Amino acid sequence: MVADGGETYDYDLVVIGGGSGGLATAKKAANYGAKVALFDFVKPSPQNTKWGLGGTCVNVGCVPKKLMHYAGLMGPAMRDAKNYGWQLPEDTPGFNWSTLVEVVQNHVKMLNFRYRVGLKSAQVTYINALARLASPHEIVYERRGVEHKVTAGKVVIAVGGRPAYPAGVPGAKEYAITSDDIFSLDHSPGKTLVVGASYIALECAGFLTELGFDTTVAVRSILLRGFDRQSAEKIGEVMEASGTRFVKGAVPSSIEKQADGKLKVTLVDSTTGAHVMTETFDTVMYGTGRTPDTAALNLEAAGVTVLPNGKIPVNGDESTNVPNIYALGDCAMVDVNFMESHWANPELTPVAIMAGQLLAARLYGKGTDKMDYTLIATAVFTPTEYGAVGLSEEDALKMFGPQDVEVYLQEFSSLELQATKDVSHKDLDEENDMPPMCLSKLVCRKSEGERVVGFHFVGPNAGELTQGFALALKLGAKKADFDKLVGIHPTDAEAFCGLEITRSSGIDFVAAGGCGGGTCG
Amino acid sequence: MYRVCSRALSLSNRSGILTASGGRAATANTYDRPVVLVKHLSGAAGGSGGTVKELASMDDYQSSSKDKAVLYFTAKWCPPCRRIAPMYQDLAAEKSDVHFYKVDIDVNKAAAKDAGIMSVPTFIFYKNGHMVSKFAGADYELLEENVDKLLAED
Repeated sequence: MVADGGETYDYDLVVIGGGSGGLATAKKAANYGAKVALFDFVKPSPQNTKWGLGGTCVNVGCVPKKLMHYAGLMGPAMRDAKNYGWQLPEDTPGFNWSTLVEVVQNHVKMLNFRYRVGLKSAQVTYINALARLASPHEIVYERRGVEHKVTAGKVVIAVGGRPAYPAGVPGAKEYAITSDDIFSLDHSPGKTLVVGASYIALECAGFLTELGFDTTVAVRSILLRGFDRQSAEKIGEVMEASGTRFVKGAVPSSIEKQADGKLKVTLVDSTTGAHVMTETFDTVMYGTGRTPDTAALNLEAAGVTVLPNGKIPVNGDESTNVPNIYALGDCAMVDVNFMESHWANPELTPVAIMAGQLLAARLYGKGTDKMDYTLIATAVFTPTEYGAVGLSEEDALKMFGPQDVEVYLQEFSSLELQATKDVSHKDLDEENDMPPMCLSKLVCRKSEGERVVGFHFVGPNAGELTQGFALALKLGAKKADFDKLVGIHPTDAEAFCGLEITRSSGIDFVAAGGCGGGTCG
Repeated sequence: MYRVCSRALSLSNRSGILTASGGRAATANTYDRPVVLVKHLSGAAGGSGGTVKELASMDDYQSSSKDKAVLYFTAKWCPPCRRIAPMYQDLAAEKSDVHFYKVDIDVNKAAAKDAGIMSVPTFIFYKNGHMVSKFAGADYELLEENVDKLLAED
């Protein structure tokens, strides 16, 4: 028993949710000497996929996604290899889906084990059961049909989210998979329809295309809602040129399983409902957003406020409306204030981890720092990646007005690709022709001496490239600072050193020559 | 897990059996040969009979003989395990008076939990139902030393 404010409890802290945020909070709190229990329970997906400790990122998110992205990139690399002199067999190299799944799942199992051991080493009690609140300090769960109860001084809710299925589409929940299922799919996906244009949808469509699967994306309205428009369109353009088929303005109205096992999908116009096309696929995957997994928590019993979208509103210190209960990660909603504008915290693993660690340090250590939810870098791992920090061009224009915003930009192609491909907007019928794959863009606020408030890069390795530049934005870098930066030649990243063309000038920002992102030649 | 695996690697490197320049490298290279050839020569009574038996369930684990036995906890994703596995098999063939068992910690999670496994590979040695020693890491010399100790006891 532990004491907290005159009361005694079984634990100082109970964490509900064994994902990135929950694990980080639990381990950190235990390191500070708190007595901690962590609940984790994976409800099987509608297609009955289950996984181990670690949450979305490790099991059905970032980690398996990045491995499949990497596997996907080897496809075009092998095609390029021939252009560079590698003598490969004439046949297209075969691809074995089950080998990929085995490699990915073995790595995931390793991480599951690492997390179990990590909790044990940190002396956190791990309870593999579905927890719900009975009151602000009481958590109940069932095991082998018997109800148990534990009490806690403080509770952290970090249950994350799960993929959403649409309502009213016959066959969707019965036959379609989501990102919960794709990374452990026990059969080759074959001809696949990806529904949605979220980053999850495009990442999966991207690696499936590169692995050689006939892949179609049904887009309701726009690609990558919330991201910079031009960058999102660039990704779409490059993916399309790489073989992904996009059906725009369409959503499935029904999915039927045929006698041969294939799925007959009817797509209708997303605004008028008129029939667009009917086609059969081997696999249909939904990537149309995620829902916070808060419904089973019985939050009302503890008096915790929940928003209509299922998220738990929290303050900047992750506290809820109930004094001893906190929430963080994808199930929590923080009002982020950046330059007098407001939006929600991004749903990203490192955000949940840092928020949890800082919270534990404040609650049980000597910490005073709160999570800074502004200027957080992120990357979309489509085959040609996209990295961004800060504001999209649209958000900046909306926040500051057109008179206060200047955008510097350039489209170009990587040196390594230019050497063997015709990189132009036109004549894409030749196998080796590609549109320029890279876009570098800085969104600047004029009234702050052209402070860079938005950084966007579409191109190879955008994730790696963007991380370092995020620090510059955090430190308040201005356009002039970028101009003083000497590039590393030849790289794509060097395009950010001395971007000259502004959006307002109207000059064509597609590079005519030069090598890589540089200006030599 | 990286930490755990690299520790196991460094242990094995220290013992010199897994590196090309190591003293036992030549022996290690012969592990490609099928173990079955040796098995029949050494099938003595009491022990494993020269083979490694997998304990795939909690029942298997609990009913396994702990008379003179070694339990090898392993995982598919562990490179040092993959390297020591054939050596373990050969050792089982060679020292057939000892029971050689294998537990895949992802297949038999309950057993791994019961044994308190914190890293792989982990070897646990039993005599008369009691654990006599335990170590983690792909250290072949330490493995052989512990098996010999078991054999030497009454």
